[in-house]
Amino acid sequence: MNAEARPKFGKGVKLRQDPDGSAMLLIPEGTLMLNRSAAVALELVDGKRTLAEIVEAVVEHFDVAPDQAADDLNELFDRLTQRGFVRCNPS
Amino acid sequence: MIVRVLGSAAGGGVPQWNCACANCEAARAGRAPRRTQSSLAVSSDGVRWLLLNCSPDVAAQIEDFSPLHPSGPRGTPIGGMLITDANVDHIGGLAVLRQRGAGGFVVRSSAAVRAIAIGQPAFAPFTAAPHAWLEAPLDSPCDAHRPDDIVENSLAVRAIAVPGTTPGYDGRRLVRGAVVAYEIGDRKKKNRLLFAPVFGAIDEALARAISQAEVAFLDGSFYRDDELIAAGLLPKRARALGHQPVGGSDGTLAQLRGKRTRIVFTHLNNSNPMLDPESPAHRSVREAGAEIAHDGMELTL
Repeated sequence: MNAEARPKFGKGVKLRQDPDGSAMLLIPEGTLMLNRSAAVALELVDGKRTLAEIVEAVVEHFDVAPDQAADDLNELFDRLTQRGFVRCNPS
Repeated sequence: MIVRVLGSAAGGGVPQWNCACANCEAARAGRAPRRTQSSLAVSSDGVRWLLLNCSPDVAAQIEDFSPLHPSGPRGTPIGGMLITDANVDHIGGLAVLRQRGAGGFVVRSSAAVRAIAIGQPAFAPFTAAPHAWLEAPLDSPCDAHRPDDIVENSLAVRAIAVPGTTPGYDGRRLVRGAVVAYEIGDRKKKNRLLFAPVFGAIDEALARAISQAEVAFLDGSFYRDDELIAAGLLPKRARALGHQPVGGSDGTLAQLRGKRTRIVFTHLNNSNPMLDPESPAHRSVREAGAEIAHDGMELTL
C-alpha cells in the first residue's frame, strides 16, 4: 500500500478493544489478535488518514525508529489488504 | 508465520453432544462461543498450510477458514499434519479426509503414535501413496519428505516428548513419545511457536521449550484436578487423564510464573471454568498475563 493511500476497513471488519487491554480485529471468519502498535495504527484507520499519517502517529506514540515502524506497518497493511480486511479509498 | 486456531476445545467440543453443564448450555444458547475440537493451522506464506492435529471437526474447520478452501476441482492447500498423540480428538479428522485429490498429505507423528494409529483401518490408508505417514524423530528437526514439503522448506519442525501416556483405548501405557509437543519456526527464527495441547506435567525439556518459544499453545483442558468430579460429570481426576491442571499451587500457571513467553491455553474442556469470562478461574489466567484460545483466533508471528 503506498504512503498516500487512505485505508479503510473492509466489509464486516471491526476493531475491538477489550477492557483487559487486548485489541483485536474482528474479521468475517475470526479474530486477528493485535499487538500494541498494530492496535494503535488500526485505531487511526478512518478512510481519510493516509498511511503516511498513520505511521507518523504510531512513531510519535511509541517513540520508535520511523523506518522500522514504517516497514512493520507497511507489512501489516499489505497483509490486511491482501485478505480484504483493509481497502484503499481512492484519493 | 500465520497461526490460526481452528478448534480450541478438548474432545467433545463445546457444547458437547451429551452434556448440559453450564458451559455447554451457555454455548448451546449462544451466550458463549461454540468451540470445535482442538487443532491449529500454520503457514509461512498464507497459501500452503500445515495442520497441527486433525480433529473430527476438520471439515467444518476447513469451511470456516477460506485460506483452507480448495482452489480447483480437486485439491487442498493443506500439505500435511503434525500429530501430538493418538487420541481420537487429534487423529479422528483423518478419517474425514478420505476423498482422493491430486496430491496427498504428509502426516508426521512420533513412532509410538504412528504404530497405534496405523493399526486401525480408518488411518492405515495414510501410510500409502499419495500420502505418507512419517515418524518425527524426538528432539531433532524433521527433514523434508519431498521437494514441495512444507516442513523444512518453509517451516522448521521439531518434536519433543512430553510427559503423557497412550490413549485410554490403548491402555494408557507409559511410552516415550506417546505424547509430544512441536516446536515450529520459520527461516528467521526456529522457535516461534510451541504447540503443546496435551501434557501430564511440565518436565525440564518442556519448560525449556516453553521458555524458548515466542508463543506457546498449552494444555488448558482443566483448571482444577478434581474439576470433573466436583461437577458430577466423571469420576476422574485431570492428572489421571493425562492433563496438568491450569490452576492450583502445582498447576501450569503457578509453574510458569515469571516466564516471558506468550502463553495461550487451548484444548479447553467443556467443564473448564475458564470458559466463563466472569469466573475467578478466567480472571486468574488473565491476571497472570496468559490468554485463552478461541476458535477463529489468529496470530501473526
